[in-house]
Amino acid sequence: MKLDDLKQQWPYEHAHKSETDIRHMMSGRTVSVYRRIRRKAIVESVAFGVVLFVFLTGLDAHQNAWWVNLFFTGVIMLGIINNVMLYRSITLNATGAALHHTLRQTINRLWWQVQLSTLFSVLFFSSMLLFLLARIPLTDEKMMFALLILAISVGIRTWFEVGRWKQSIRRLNLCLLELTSLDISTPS
Amino acid sequence: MFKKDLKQEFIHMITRHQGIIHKVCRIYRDTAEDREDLFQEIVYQLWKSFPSFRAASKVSTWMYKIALSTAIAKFRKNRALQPPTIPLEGIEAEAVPAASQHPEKERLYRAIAQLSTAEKAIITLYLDDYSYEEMAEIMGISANHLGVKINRIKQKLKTLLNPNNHETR
Repeated sequence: MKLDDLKQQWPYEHAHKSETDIRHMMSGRTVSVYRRIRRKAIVESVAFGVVLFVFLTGLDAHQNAWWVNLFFTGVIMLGIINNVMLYRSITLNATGAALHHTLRQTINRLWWQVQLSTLFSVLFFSSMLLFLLARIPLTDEKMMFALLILAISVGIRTWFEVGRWKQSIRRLNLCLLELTSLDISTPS
Repeated sequence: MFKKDLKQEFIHMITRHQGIIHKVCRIYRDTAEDREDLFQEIVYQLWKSFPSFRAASKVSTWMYKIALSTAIAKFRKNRALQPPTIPLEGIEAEAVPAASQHPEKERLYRAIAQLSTAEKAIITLYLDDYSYEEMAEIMGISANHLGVKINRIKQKLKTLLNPNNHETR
């Protein structure tokens, strides 16, 4: 079969969905990828809430300076907001603009997400260390050790976050390049 | 317009033009399960951007823009878009149930599945008989550029379908 033969049959190449099916799909609850991201966002947000509760009630938070507790609480809230933003950014992806423009926007949004996640990692682990070490007199060696732990923790989390999105970013960048470059899709 | 009316108008529109979504799903996903999932994702994205849709552009053009961008910007593990590793000439009918009825058509679909993401978008619009200008509007690139692209894709498909002929040339 040639491409033009398929072109003749193309208008008839599909099944049919009823109005009820379509109505059901409009909620977005049936989309597996959204379900997975929503579940992950909920689990992470609950975990942040538990961490906040344990730190503020079980680890003598009242002995800390008020701004240490406030900083820690604020960072946890930022983590929850970050999860909500991520979910919205993925589920509200379409704009109706030309494909080239939408792809560019999606790549920018993913990069923004990576940067936000990295910033959150720095703030989260810093606030946690500050919370735990605020009342302990630190020598230079201990301070270096704490900073080393901070750097490793941030590094590991950033590695996972970048890894999580870089495949999508690379794929979208390649697609964008193919759309604009005449050379990249030369028959092999 | 009340939300109920908007919803009803949207459902009618999707019912009438659902072929577009089916075609995009057919080209971009290999399994029935993945196609079903993408169909739902596209309907959801269309519904979310429906309030901002202006009748300035054709419904089909708007639908294609959203359907293609949703199919391409997939946020899932990379299993559906893996190109088939089975050589096209060696496909067994049992491996693809639909191939038992239309083996030639299935071979062509397999060849299309090996195109790149951007090439698939172009070929989807080409199969729906869109003019270069309309395709350019959907893709956001120039019509001249598209003409060159389409010729290359046709050549690539020919090579994929008849690798031996290509080698002996």
